[in-house]
Amino acid sequence: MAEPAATTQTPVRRAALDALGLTAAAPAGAQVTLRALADVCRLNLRLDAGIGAAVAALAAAGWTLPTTAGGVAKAADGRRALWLGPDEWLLLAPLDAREAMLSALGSALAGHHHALVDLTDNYAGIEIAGRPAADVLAKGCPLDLDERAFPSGRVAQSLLGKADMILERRPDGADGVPVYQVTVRRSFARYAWDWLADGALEFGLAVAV
Amino acid sequence: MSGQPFRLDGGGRIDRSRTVRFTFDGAACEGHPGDTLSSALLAGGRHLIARSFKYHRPRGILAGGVEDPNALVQVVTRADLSEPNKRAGQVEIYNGLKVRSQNRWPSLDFDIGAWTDRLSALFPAGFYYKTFKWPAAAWMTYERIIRRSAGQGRAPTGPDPDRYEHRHAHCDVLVAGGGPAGIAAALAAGRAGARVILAGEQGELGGSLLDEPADGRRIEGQPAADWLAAALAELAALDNVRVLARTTVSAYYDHNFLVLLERVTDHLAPADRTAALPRQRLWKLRARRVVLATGAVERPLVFPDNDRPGILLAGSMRRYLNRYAVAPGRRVALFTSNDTAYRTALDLIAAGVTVGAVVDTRPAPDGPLARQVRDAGVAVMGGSTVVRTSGRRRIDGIEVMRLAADGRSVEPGLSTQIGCDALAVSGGWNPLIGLHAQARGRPVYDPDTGAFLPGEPVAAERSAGGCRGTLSLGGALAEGFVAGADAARDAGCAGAVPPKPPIVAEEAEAPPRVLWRLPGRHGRPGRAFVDYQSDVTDKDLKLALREGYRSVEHVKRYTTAGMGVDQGKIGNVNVLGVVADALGVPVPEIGVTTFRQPYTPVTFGAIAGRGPGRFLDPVRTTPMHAWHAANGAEFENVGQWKRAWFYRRDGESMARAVNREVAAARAGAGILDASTLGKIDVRGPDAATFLDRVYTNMFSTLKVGRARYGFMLGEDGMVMDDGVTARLADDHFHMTTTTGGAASVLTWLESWLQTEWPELKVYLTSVTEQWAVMSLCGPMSRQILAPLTEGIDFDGDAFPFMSFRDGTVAGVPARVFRISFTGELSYEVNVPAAYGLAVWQALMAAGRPHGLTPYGTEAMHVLRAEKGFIIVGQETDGTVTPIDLGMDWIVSKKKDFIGRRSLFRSDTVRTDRKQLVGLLTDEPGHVLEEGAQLIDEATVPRPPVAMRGHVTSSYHSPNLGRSIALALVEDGRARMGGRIYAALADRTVPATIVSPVFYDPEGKRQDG
Repeated sequence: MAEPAATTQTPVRRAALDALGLTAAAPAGAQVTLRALADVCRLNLRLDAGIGAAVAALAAAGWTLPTTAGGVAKAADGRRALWLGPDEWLLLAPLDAREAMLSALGSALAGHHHALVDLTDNYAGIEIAGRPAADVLAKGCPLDLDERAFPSGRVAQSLLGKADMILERRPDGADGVPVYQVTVRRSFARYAWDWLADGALEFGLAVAV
Repeated sequence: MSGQPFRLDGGGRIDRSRTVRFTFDGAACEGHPGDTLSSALLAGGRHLIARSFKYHRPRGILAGGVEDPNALVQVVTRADLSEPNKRAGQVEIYNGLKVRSQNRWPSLDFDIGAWTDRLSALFPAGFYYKTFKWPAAAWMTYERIIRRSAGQGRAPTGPDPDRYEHRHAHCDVLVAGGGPAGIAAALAAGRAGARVILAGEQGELGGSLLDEPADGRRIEGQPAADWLAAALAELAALDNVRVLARTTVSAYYDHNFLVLLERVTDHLAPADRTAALPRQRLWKLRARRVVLATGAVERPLVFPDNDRPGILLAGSMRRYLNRYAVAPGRRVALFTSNDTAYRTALDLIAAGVTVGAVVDTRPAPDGPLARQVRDAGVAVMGGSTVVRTSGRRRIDGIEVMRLAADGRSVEPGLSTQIGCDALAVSGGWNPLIGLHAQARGRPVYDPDTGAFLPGEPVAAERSAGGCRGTLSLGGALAEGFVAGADAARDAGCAGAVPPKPPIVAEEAEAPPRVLWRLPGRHGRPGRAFVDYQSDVTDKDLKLALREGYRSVEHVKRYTTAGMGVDQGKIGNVNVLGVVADALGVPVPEIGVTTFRQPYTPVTFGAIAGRGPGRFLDPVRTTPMHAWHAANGAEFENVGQWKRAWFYRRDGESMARAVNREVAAARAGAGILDASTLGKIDVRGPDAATFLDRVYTNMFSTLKVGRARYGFMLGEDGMVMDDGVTARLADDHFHMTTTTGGAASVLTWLESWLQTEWPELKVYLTSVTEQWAVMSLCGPMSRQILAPLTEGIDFDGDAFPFMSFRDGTVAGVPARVFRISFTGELSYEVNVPAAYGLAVWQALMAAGRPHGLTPYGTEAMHVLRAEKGFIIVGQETDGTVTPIDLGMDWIVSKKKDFIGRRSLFRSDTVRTDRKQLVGLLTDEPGHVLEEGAQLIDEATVPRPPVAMRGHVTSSYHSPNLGRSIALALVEDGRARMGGRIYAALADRTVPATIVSPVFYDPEGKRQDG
């Protein structure tokens, strides 16, 4: 039996959480919703924010880098820059914008010492929404997630149980409930998902895919 | 009401409309919702509920809460599942609750162990230390027998099915304690806008407010219960206040980090517990400020026979009476040194219980409370003491005599006999200063009350109410308000002011009298228990002093006073008082014993949280994991990673599978999932300079498009990590590290960049998980890969060994490295991780006609060992230099690098260090044990034996048809062809020292 020529097959892209085979579920009374984020482009940028010309070139390309610790700067089309350190940001965008972003940012930063690295597949993203979302996260995250300490538009690198996590507080949902985006390294995807799902049990868990 | 003969007809905070049924030692008991196990047992008339630890004396409920030294029980869930040492005052009853008494056999009422009590003179403090010391060898036998009779309760034998969890929390003000001071503090801080957590130990908040009768003390003109209800409603309405009931602040650590234990479902019947809720929750809390409002516990008096069932602390008796509507007996006597007992007496009278007499050690008790009691027609016997009690399983009478003026003996004369079935005792109050002391506060002794009060705080905490020695209700509320407002202000809530203190209508209390050991009749001191739980009498303490112990810490350990489950909450101050008294020194000179965490016992389950089971440690998997699992892979744990170890086919053994995989990789083609290797993107104009400094060999000379194997050393010159690094551009490198070193190498490199060489313009980015990596090896690998690939010329000269090319593999952008860890022609395909599985499947499909065989880490180990390639962490152990490994060629002599200097120390330049060699056993089928020690002698000589080295790797090599091993051997390179012996437990295995490269020493195969 001849094998089909592999080159004729369209390669299938699989986000980390695809391996879990998640199906949507919305039991009555569920207060927490988990959603696997598949199509996110993630570029890691390291740059000396003191290089005015580079910052200006980025601004011209539509990107403002937050310079206060834990800041998130929004750009057009749902793109945003997450502060990870004094010289490090994670740039998030829809996946289909990746090629354009790489090229636009590469041009803008040409000639300046920087590192723009595609980490799209390095990470897995999970969104957790609901009134008790912070209570679920607090079971494994030592940060103060109170409204006053960690409002929408903040990001921090922390722990979720025993996994490193980038935690971003997103704008509140339509019904006013808090929404967080959890980003973990790819191999921790199952651990993080199971951990959040287990922690949300007492509040009722819905799954969106 | 037949099951609750001592339940009063009215009053109390119990729900009389429902009856709760439970069993105690198998006997049917009942109570009402709102009851604790203690109150329900007392309502049933049961006072004897435990046997003491050492003498198995009958013991009853002494106190009202967790401080009770006697009321420890075992709560049974299943035959193999029960929890020992539960404090009966903390167990809320539910239908079906099963409780067993502890420390008795065969039954509580008839306990054989009680013989020790009859012979108690033979069992003084230190009995075990003294008696079972000789002969020394016999201790092993004694210990087994003593162990069997020791301990309180029994450990469960079955697995714990319950769910536990941890959670973090932050607040401006933590209020520890749900009594009046705590509630007042939470109100003041909450109104000021502070984020407040109020933790109360009991199911119902209110503390002593719950003990007030309906016509008792009034706050702002309303009954205490009404004020409480309004306060709790206000707290519940404040979004910034979280009230945690059934939550104990159990530990206070530095920087206001506190641990709280919340008992979430313990009070529910098992059928009412949901699987989603944890049974207990451990809070890890950061509080800007802490208000301690933990209250005070009552101190017993130390007098002869003071431990009989039916003897209760006066304040606790009042709690049972008012809060639970339980009469402690039909005819009650009271014995006190302060005014507390008079409140109890008044409430007893109001509840219709006969009060026999109040015995008071103070010569002339005539405060307002004492006068009220006297006016009610009850005999108040001032300047008197109880010299004896009677009744075995329950008290049935006391004998009273006049005290001498100094309180150390009794006046000559007749004694008075008073019949009673319960005795209330009060020796004053001990503020609960445990948390203050845990936070490094030093307690201060107050001679007027015989109590230790909190000293100057060290941490950001303050005390209010009973735990500060303030026993009046009005005082506690006022202090709570001030403490709460001050704490909120300190935590950043500007303008917080304490509410106006409420007006509380209460009688002032007359000063107490402090006496430690009350006398018995002349010449008959009797036995007076100081620490009930450890069965320590004043005599034991005095014996410890006679034997030379002076420090209270030593006295405590010698007598075991304060070392029970209760940690001496009730007994410790009396221990200090009795010891000081015996030594004739003031109490502060004795010092206090250390207050340790936790405040009350914490279950192991709560400490473990969600830890056991699937959340013990993350399980990390590669993008191709599902394929491995579906194709017979067994996995090996490599750190947190699951790596395919070998692929079992048709039920073959592991050895057969590994042999098959190894052979296929050399004869045809094999493929390995190498995604777990650490990968670091190194970029910047100084990247090459940086790599020259961190690797032993030169990278600045590496051409773009080429790759080089490198060693990193620690500053000690020892091999730390290895890997292949490729030059993507002049200023851009792709570094690989070992799987285990991925995180630590990145941290190490960042620390050098940030602290030592900040002038270097280099950025590091971990890209470990961005790439899925498959290592394709074997003579057929090129035929398999080339047709799938576009944009790469596979011609030998165009794509030489140790280079990489970018192209597409199976339509996916890929970077292909021509590097080899097997010695075969080999390609390492890197694709974005999301395509890892698709490309792997494409390679497998394309390789099937060529016999492409997936191989796991075990075959990989064999393949590299055949070539003598080392694995960091297997051939190295932090004591091995590159020269020891025979890899001098990788150490540049033209430049400096981390660890270089250490390679020239006298020890590292020795030529007889342990060096990497190969070993061939005489017996080709014998695979040496890894780690086996190597010696020079064929038979193991008498110790000490000179150890010449050890086996680092050992396998059966299917390609060589025999066993091979790598080893580190002293002066090994000079011993080629020499003999050495692996020392096993029962024999030695002879082997010949050879080159570590067993296969294809010329390295011809890597070019296919």
